[in-house]
Amino acid sequence: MTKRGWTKLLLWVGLVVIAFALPTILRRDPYWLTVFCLLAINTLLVSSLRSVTLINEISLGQVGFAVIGAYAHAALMMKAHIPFWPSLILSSLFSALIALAVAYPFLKVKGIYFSILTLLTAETFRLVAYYWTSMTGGSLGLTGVPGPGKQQVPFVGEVNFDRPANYYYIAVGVVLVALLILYWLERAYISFQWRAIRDDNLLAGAVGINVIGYKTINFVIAAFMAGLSGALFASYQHNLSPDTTSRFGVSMSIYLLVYMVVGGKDYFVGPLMGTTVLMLIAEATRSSQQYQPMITGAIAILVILFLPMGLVGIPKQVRSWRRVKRLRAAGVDGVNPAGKEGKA
Amino acid sequence: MRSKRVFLICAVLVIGVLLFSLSACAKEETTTSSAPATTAAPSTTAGPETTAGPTTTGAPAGEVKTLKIGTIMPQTGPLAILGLAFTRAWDLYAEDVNQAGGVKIGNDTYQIKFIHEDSKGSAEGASTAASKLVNQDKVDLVIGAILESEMAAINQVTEAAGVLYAQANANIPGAPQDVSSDKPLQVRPFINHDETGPIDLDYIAKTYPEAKKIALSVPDIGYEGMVERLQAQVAARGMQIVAQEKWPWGTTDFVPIMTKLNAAKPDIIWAMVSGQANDQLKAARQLGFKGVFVSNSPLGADVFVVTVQDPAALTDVICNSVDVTHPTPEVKKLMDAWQAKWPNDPFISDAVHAYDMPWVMVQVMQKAGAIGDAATLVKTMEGMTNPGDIQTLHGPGYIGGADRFGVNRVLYRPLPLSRIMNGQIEFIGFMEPVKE
Amino acid sequence: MSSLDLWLQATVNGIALGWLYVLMALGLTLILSIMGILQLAHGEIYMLGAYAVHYLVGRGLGLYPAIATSMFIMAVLGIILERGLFRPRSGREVVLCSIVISTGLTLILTSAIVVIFGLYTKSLPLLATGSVEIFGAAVPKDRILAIGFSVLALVLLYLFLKKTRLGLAMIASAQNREGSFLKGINPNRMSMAAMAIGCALAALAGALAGAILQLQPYMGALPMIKGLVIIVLGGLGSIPGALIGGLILGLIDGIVPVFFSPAVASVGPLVVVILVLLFRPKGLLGHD
Repeated sequence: MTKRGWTKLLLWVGLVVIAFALPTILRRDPYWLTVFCLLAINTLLVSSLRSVTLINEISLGQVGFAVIGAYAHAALMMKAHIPFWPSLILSSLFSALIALAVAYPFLKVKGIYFSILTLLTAETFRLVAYYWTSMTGGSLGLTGVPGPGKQQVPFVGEVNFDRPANYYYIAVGVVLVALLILYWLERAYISFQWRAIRDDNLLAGAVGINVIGYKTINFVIAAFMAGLSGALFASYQHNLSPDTTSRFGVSMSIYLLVYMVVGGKDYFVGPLMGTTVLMLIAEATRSSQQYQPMITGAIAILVILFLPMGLVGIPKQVRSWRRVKRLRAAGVDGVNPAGKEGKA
Repeated sequence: MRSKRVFLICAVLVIGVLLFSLSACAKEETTTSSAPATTAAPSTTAGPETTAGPTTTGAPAGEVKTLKIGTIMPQTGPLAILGLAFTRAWDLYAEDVNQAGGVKIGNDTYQIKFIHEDSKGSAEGASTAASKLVNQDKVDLVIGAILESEMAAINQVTEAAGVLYAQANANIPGAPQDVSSDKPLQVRPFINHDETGPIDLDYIAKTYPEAKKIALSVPDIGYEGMVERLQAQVAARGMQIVAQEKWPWGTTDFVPIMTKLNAAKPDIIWAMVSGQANDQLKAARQLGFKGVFVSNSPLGADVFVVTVQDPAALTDVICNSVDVTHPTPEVKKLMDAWQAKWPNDPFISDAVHAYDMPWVMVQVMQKAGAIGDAATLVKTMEGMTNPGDIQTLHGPGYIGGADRFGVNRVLYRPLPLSRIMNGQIEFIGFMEPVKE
Repeated sequence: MSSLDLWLQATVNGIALGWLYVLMALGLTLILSIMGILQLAHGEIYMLGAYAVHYLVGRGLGLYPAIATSMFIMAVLGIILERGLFRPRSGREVVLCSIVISTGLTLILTSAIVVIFGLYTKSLPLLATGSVEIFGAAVPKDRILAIGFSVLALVLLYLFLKKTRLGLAMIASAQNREGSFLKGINPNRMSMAAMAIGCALAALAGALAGAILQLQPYMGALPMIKGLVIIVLGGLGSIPGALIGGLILGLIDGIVPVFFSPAVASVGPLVVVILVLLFRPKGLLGHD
């Protein structure tokens, strides 16, 4: 293992350790735990969006699959009385199933059209939830979505996971497992096909890669993860509403993208970084009220203008700036910082 | 090989931390579950630190303390204007109380401190805000929220923490959000705007005896029960509802809805509880509707005059929210305080509704003799059912609602009735809500 | 009132709405096809245009001069935005950048308007009051005027695009960017022109909508979605497509809530557009 690999692993382990030690540190203030809980759920959603970028598409419809996951989970638990864990998996699978059903025609559409298509699809799913009042409660919302309830944990005894402080473990745990799976997939053999498709769609097809097939697998996995995050959210919040202002609205779809780009879309930890930074800034600037959106907007624009690799890419960015400075000092012309390689 | 070992060590580390923190939370569980045996309150999950806060117990008499009230309103997003009106009214209430040296509850004098949080107009935002208020700021009372989904989200947090929640605006008896016996710590110091039905109908019967046919414009957010109630009231007066249209929340263009209502040739168009009754009036008049327009909404008559502009449209409009052109002395005082503080911003009549909310809750605390335990406060409030038990900006009120909600946790107070003719507001009088 | 009158009223209302949508969609389609970006802050330009009119009217300008001035200001703003933010930078993905930048812009502009003008709902002077009788049905006068202004704007745009060199170059650029570049058309100039025209049209739409309905800092979100639906329906870069798409959507919004239900009116078009995208990815009148 290389030195970088070591530091990377240590960083990851440190992150996980901190994540699980947080409730103990923050025992006096469960409020921050609810924030971190949401943060974990959002990170999963953003990561699912990033996963689609591996096939060079920008899906603005991850929120749509989160709607499906959330309401399916609520329906399974409330109407069919299925316990938490099977329901969590089933609702995510349901969301993946819907993605599978629409995948073939959807993935034929490319580029900007794919983004618009997925954005409108997500909005359609939300509106269906909004108007299907017998199932979803409509704009009044659905209340009383159960959480995991009291469960037996080995070595510990019975723990009531409905309390936000304890639900945190479930949310963070599930999200970590999901992220590990995504990470593994990105390193696995299948990602070679995805990368081939990302780099050159036609060439990938020409060398015998089943382009639509591999795209479908990617899309379905991303939908599964989005559905999972929706289901986790339903049990966290205990109520759901499909209002425009809710987390299932169009603006959320777009924010997810902003989270990803601010963090750094080329890095696996980009979504985590972007979500963490932007959500914590939003929490820290709570008191500034109407100026708050302005701060988020300014950060998004500044990052894309000056840090095209995102926050995670800062070290690399700094290195490239230094290199350019050194070369300029040495009298070499015509070099620009990485990401700004001249107009030629 | 080496990397595998590192991986193993890390995995063990992670699992160890996981188990440690889980056991920590399980311990917490046991301490809290033993707590209710002594306090006997339903606030089991809050943990010992909230119930033993500095404001509740053990202090010597006669001390000046702080009553912390957390408010949750949309301060960004399309509903932010309501958030502005409400939070300003609350700030003015706090100023009134604190300048008078505080309010006496039991043996102690309390200064009032509001902590305002933004719900962003969403359930998720409201839930996070509520969590901050009860867990971090440790407020004694949470008030606010506009949307039904926000209120449900807040109640889920406050109830678990054993904190009293005074909701602002639920209009729908029987909806999962409104007060009921299965939500032990939720009350509503706010009048239901469909209580005005009989008042409006009686006034119309007297003033426009030939008007019989009513067309109803209903926001599609679960008002079915209220429509049924109104239907009975209408039938009892020999009138009839000839058309009924539901429009989805978020509608901005009311011309299609009014086109359809107008097609039934009604004498009266009745805009059921909605903050957009002014837009509906505009659309109805543009389509040539000449009859009576009834708004039973929290919108003041002044809002119609300012937003609709056209005097021809502002005729035969009946309105029974706050009438700022004929305020009670208390309302006048509030308006003056507002204008002194924000001279460039016109007074928003919603502030009148808002001002009453903490005032009513403080009166309940005074009656209970302590700001303490939420369940006792709810019980005290349920007992204040005699007219005059509660003071409001519109005169003496009382707590009622058992006939509609099963519990007495809703504010009743006199309702102003006004009519707009040729762009001028005529004040008709204060009416008592009628039980029907 | 017969059901014929009801149809008539609903249709006129739908057409009035449709023309406002057309104004929004025309700008979006020009920007999308010439610049290849998704300008999600177009709805906020619409809102800004309406507020500019409100401000100018408050300073004593008449409604119509104020609308013209506002269109001019927004056109200049469009050029500034194009030069400063949206001009493609190499090494970055154009679509992704444009989405993030325009989202940031949306947030900044909305909260700036809240800070400057406050949260109070504002209104513009009415274009006209009352209604006219057409075949016995009352039709609001202001909507007829709004239709008139929109048609006028569209005719002017059409003349510009068909009769001037710049306009013809823009059409060429919208239809085939690479080809027109090879022919010596400067893409940056085309982008600036597209943003300027798009923003001016959005300002007009915002001002008309502000006069018919009301002004709120958050008024831009809904027309933005409508605009997206229309340009997809009509086909990227197709001006007749935007026109037809806009009118279809306007008619749906005007007629369907009256005869069916608002639910159908809001979900229906989305489903139609998704189907169009799936089976005719270039839109109804789109070209390759």
